[in-house]
Amino acid sequence: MDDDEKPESLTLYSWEQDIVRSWETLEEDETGKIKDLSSFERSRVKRKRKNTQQNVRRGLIRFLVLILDLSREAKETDVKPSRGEVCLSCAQKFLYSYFNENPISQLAVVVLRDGVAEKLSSMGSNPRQHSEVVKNANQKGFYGNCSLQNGLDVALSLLHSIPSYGSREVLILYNSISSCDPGDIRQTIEKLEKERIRCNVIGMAAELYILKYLAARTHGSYFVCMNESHLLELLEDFVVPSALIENNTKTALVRMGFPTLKAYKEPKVCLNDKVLRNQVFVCPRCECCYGEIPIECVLCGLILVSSSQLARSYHHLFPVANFHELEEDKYKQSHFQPNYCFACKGTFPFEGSEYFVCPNCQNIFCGICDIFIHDGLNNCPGCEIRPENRIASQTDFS
Amino acid sequence: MSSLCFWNWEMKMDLVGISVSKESQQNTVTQDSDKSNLLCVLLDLSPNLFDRLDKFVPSQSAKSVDLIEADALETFLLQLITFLHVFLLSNFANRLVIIVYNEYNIHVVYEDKGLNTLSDPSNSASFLLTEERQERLTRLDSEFLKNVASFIESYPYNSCEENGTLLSASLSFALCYLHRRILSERYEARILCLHASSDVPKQYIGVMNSIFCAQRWSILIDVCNLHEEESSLLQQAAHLTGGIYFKPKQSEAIPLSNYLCSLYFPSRDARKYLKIPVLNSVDCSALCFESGEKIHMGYICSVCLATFGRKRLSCNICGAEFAENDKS
Repeated sequence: MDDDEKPESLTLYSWEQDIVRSWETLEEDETGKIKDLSSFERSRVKRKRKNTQQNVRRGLIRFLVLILDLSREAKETDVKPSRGEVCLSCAQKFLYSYFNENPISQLAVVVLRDGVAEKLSSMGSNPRQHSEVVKNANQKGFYGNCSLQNGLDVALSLLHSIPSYGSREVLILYNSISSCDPGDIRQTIEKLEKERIRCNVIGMAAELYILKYLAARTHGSYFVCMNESHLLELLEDFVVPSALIENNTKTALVRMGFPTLKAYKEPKVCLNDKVLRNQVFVCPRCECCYGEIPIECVLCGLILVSSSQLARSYHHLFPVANFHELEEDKYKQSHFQPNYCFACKGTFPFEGSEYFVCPNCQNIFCGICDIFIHDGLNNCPGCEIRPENRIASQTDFS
Repeated sequence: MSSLCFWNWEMKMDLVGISVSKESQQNTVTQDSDKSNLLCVLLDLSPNLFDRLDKFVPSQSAKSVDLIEADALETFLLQLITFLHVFLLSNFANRLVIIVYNEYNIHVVYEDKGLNTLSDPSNSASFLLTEERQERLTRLDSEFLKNVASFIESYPYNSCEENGTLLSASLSFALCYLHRRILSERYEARILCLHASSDVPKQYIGVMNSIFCAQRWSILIDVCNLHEEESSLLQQAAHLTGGIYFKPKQSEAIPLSNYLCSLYFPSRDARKYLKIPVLNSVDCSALCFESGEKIHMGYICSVCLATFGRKRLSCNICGAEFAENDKS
């Protein structure tokens, strides 16, 4: 994301912004409960952000190194309970949504502590394994200096052997305001640039020049988060595969196998975790048994996936067109106004109702369904009924 | 014969209804977690269903062809209604919506508005004795049958091969509808899909997107496959969302209502204690984008994830060119 695309709150320092009176935005509904406006506002922002990124080539097979800074400054308590704890809990949530959206991608976790970088888990696509590692990362405590260069070196070595079709990324959660390095960090950054590894950084502390420089050189982005919910919001941006930079990755045909889930009477040993199971995935080339996919077959090296895991990424390629918002009086003037939302059949106007029209099928949707269709469903119900097939117009069942 | 059977069922369920709701009354006092169910029935009303109706209803003595067809459809719908009555009577807070679809369009034919007595919980006991419950059922019968009839009449009978039935659209509709209701009230939502047509490869992405969405919102998709072939799309739908996939046997003359009541009636919690049919193998194989054949090993374009059965020099979906292969 370029600098000019950032929302205002990210480009201005807090002392430069207008005073925010968050308590004044609270509203009560009829029963006296406080309406959750913030979530609605957030999704609104999200929708706007999404508007700018459509129809671009994305790197769908991702290889990401997640670097977590657990040095002594992770003990700071400006976010509760501490920077390190918040960082770890948010990283766990990120892991799950990362593998949910990119099931055939891989990830590795590296922590920076006591002046060195430690690889906690190697490249793999098992969310449970990584999550376990991240969860237990705080047991050793937060201490010592933080070395950005060591972290980047480990990331370089992890990403070095990745096949050229994969999109290589580094995501750093940085708690410190310094870096204690053994050599010249600019040389490491140059290497990263040459290897075409994109580095994204989220800072928990004040903005740092070296991080900004790193992100700028490697076509990544650098954010400083304000609080826990802001951190989650920023992390969500990195869940969606980012647009490819020209010539960054090669295109290739990747050989993959689609194993069938078979049930056996006698249990089989699964090669991934050495557990006996009755229901196993069988590699179509060498007939090894696995308890879960995606996985790279340990015997023949074939990448095993299921077709549904591939299908999970398709909505990044064929996104639903953005709906246009209709003004209320414009909606009332329009001659085709049905008095209910096309998708959920809720009768207008209801609480918080807005009017959206799909540019392809011209049906009218409510605000709730608009968000749901774009962020959850990824199908426009109106466009699924192809317009040329619609003979009779919708009759009213309200 | 069939209508008699139907009344019998209802009378039995009257008794069940009373006992079950008394229990749930006690439960609401002690624990609040007892969720009511929100069921969305998707009914395929394409010509494919009419062709196969005689397999699911007891055959009758020789009549003219038209009559048999009309009768068969009515019997089929009555069997479905029996199941819906059971569902509504088992818990007075249960809600129901029925969506029908064919190759051309989709309609919500019945939408349950709930009961007025619900607002006053002390009334619930007397509710069982009032006529409101009976009214609810008669409204379901009349409205459902009337709307189904007008839906069938408004579209041409000849099947439209190239489009296929609108499975992905109806699933999307159902999810939007359920999502809206789950947001405001706590329901345990599920979809029962009575599908009678074959899979349409064109709808693959649409259906898969719906499945992932249902998975995320923990909405069960139960499938009752009325078509003669197994449907791999719907098998995956049930497998991924934790629902039941079942294909009634056509050889035995077991009425459909038996299957519906015994398999699809129990809620998610109750299913843990039952022996539910499990799929022995789930087909995870992909289709070749070029030939449409099933493949167990293949090549994937790294840009658009299109699958191909053979090696090739360029991708015909996204136009990417492959110079060399790193992996063999």
